[in-house]
Amino acid sequence: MRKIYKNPLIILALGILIIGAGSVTATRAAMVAQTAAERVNFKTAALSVDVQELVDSEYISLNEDEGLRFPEITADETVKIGKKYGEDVRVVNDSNNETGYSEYVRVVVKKSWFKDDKKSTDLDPSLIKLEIADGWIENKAEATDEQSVYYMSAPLACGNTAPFITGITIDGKITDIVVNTGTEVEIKNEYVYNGESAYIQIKADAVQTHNAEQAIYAAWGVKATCSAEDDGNILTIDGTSIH
Amino acid sequence: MKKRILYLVAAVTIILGTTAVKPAVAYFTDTKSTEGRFEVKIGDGKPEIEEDVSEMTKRVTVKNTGDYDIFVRIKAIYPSEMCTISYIPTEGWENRNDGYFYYNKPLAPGEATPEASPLTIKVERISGTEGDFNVIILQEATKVLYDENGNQIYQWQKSNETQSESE
Repeated sequence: MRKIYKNPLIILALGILIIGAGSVTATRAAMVAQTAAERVNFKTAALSVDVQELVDSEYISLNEDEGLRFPEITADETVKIGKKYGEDVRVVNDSNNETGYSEYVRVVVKKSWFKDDKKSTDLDPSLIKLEIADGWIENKAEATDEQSVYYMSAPLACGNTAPFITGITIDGKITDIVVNTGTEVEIKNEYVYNGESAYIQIKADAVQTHNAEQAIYAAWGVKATCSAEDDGNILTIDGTSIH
Repeated sequence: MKKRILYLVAAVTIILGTTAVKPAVAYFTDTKSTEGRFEVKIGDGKPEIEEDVSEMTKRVTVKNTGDYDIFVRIKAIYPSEMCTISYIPTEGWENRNDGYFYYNKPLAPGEATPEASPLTIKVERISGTEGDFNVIILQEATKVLYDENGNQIYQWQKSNETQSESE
């Protein structure tokens, strides 16, 4: 040991040997990686969810750029207060067919009123009424004046669709909310909701059905119980029954 | 002694390495978000009366001068000690015996009740009375609402009505 310390050339030689050996290994690794015949392609499983709206007899995929069109409502010159307009919004499991994954789906709906691109926080979102298709259970514990969260208790199989919104109504109560102006001869009403825009946001969340309870908790932050560890039905969300 | 310390350090390193670094767990998830909005317009249509008075008979038509569909109804106010009035039925108008005469169809903006079938009210002075009197036509309009199936409905009991009068 002492001899090595005393001879710096030995230490230098050892250092060069180590660096040299390391470089050669790296070069060899790079050469192996470039050999096409030995390349391994990894393919990750694709789990995907889509939101679609029926427009002109055809379902179109929606996203942040391609928004809801409300075809029946826009077909009328003005929205008829109290009339239930047909609306067809559905959720689709458009995951990769090769993997064929089922998925749990929930939809978070937010409603509010806007005027001149500003949110009218003093107006009542509950006057925008959505008719939700069968098969969706609202978790009231997560609901607020603006938000509703709906869960599908059964997994949505790969390639399957689930109708979500089937109708929209503007509650006739909005015509009761007026500010009276005018004269003794003429009574004039200023309608508080006149010129307001009904705003609806839909966010569909999907998560894998394997290791179900842990996956739901990790993805959605809610404690779920399921009928099976994998691919079972969701029984409760945060203690609330949803089946 | 040195060996003991080395073993101890190695043991601590192994324990920390296996417990502090938790296994990374990832789940497959996906999210799709979209939004939309549509404008709501609400208002009262404004009715405007046109009267043709001849031979103690008032012939009334009503025009919607507002921006919204409306239903209209008309009431005649008169001094009952001086005169009587009688309603002569014309197409489109209904006497529901509540003091009002109703036009049975909604009026679109700019639309008027037909001139060919005006609300016709005949006024007759009570014999033996003297002096002038007025017969006032009071009109009311209420906006057209819709039921769930899109059928037109009206709610006269609501206060959101427009009134004007004509003598």
